[in-house]
Amino acid sequence: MSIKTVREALNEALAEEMARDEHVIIMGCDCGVKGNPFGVTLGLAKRFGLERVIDTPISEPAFTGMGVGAAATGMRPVVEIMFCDWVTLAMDQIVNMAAKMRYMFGGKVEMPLVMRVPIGAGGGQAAQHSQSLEAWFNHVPGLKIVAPYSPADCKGLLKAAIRDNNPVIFLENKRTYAVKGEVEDGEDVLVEIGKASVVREGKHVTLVTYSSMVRTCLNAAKELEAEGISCEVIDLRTLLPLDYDTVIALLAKTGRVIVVHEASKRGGMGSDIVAELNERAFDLLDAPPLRVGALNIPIPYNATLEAAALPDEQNVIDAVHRCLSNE
Amino acid sequence: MPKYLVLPKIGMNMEEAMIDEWLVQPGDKVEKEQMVVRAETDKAIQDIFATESGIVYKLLAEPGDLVPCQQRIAILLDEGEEYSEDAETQMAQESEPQDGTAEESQAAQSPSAAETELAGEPAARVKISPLARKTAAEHQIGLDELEPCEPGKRIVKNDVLRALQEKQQQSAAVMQTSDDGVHTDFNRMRQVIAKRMVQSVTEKPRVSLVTTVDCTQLIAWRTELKKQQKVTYNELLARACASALRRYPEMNCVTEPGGVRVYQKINVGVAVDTPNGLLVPVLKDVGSKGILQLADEFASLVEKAKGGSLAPDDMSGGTITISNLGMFGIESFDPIVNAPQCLILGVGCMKPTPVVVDGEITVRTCMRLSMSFDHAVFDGAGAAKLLDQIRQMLEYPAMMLA
Repeated sequence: MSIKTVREALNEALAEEMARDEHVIIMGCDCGVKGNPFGVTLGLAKRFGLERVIDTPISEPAFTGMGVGAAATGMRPVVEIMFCDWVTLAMDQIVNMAAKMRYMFGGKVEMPLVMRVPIGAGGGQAAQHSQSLEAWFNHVPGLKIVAPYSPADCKGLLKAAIRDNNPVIFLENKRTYAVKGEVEDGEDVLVEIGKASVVREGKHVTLVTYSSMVRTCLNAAKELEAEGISCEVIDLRTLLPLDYDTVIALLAKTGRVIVVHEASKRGGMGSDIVAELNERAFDLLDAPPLRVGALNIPIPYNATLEAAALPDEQNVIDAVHRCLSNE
Repeated sequence: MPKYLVLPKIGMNMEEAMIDEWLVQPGDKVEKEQMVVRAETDKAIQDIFATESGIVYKLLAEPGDLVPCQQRIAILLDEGEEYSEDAETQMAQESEPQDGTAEESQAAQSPSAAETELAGEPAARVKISPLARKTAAEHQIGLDELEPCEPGKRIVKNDVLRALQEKQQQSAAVMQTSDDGVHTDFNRMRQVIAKRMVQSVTEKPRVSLVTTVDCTQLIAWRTELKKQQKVTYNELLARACASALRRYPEMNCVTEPGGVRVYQKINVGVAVDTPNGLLVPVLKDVGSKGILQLADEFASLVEKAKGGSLAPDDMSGGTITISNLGMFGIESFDPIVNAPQCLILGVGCMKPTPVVVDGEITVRTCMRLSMSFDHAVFDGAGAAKLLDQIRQMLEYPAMMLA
């Protein structure tokens, strides 16, 4: 067991998997020589060579298509989209190729593709460098979506994603790269895809969240504790397939649920999760399920406006109060 | 656009009714004022008329539902009309607050404007979470037993658990002195009776006065009357009460907040035992009616009472009540005042009794009268004079003419 940052944990996961399996390759803009703008692939090109850590031209559809082709022909590519915002350019390859091939070829083709897609706003990166577009992928049958928060989960889930024979969208939040946490040592320490985890126990309200908002929810829960309100925080870790069994089992304890994510509220994961809980667990609800998310606007460049657009601890606290108001 | 049947207020004191049976079903055509539903009001089972014409689309209340007056009980459509939620939404929006003048002119234009407005009010619904609803069902707690922690808030699971705890505490208290027993819910009528009785004993300081009436002449008079038509002692007692009260007109009153309301007409309620429980139909303006007329009216009231078809107005407006248990061999009892009235006469059985007349012991047919009165309103002396007057009326029936 050792303390690592998310950045280090991801780097270690990639290095371990590349060492373990020569079919694992990385491709994307600036991932090789530069070691990725956030330092996630730092040192990997030096260790494994530029044939396996491939710097590509700036063309997301081209290098994503390359990844799809490589995966279909026996490689285990990890394709990196530098900012989630530009995954739009690669959507055809992801939605129509990666997600469909195994199904359309009757299982004769495996698609062990991992798309590493950094999401999230903060720091004034403006509207084209700040989005969290996970809900789009949630709508596409044939994909898995992972959005971990802690270093241990980031490492264990990235390794599991690389070893998975299906396309996995791996979402990292840019603002969490420096988050530190204990990571269990060992090449084969994996985190199973599709399992949520309880990161804080509580009895009054269940906060269902993922990625950077885990931290926001934990901070809000801590503040609410001073008022005598006890919040349970569930880190979903995987968004597709979503661990509804766990969420519903835990919802039974509190009867009150709030889904919190950084992405825009409208049409976000929260909308889908709340709808699913209404269908599956209506009788467990003691209050209307609520959503907390970003305002339905492009993320502003101006720091004050950006902060106002993004969900924060106070938004979570307000939602908890509303949820408990019985109004 | 859909129309609604609402529960009309058909009696002065009617506030709600329990739906007993629908006389129409979805698909049936109803005409305004046609009887559409049978419902249990305060003290009677009533057929209730339609407030609109149309085709029944959906019934909004089920047998057993307690419905406040003016609440929607059914949706009506015009012939060939399809039900649409949009129309309902639109209608709800249209009935949102407007300025007073617009409302008035609307009401003036169309006679049904007022009804439309009523129909536009959202039907009362219980604001309760799904979990609370399910928990209540599991513990067989009715939604009407539940209250939110603060008025206007949603009923949640905690509120159900609180109600359950209270219920368990109550039944635990009962179980200490008895076996498990079988719980029976009060029916609507029992609820009303219970509420009124408790209200009376908590609000009215009651004193009972007792006297004995020599019934010799009363019996003779009734024998004569019966040659004409059937007459019961109840009409004679009612008439005696009225004649006595005529001498103390200020005592012909009922309590109301801050004082009493004195009436000119003397309306005498007579308690009647029915298969469903105690009912008190009221003989109106007894002071101005003859015995034979009263006998007719009382016979018809009793028939209605036993058939459960007394109208609310048949049971309201009384200023004094007679409760006669003589037929059960009861000699004397202290009745509870029928609030807001202030006087009730308890009538015992007639039986041969040794009495002293002119220094000699002789046997006469006597009955005991006990009159309970509201001491907050009358003093003992006043009530005593009234009871003595009633006794005199019964001992010398000709006094009723005086």
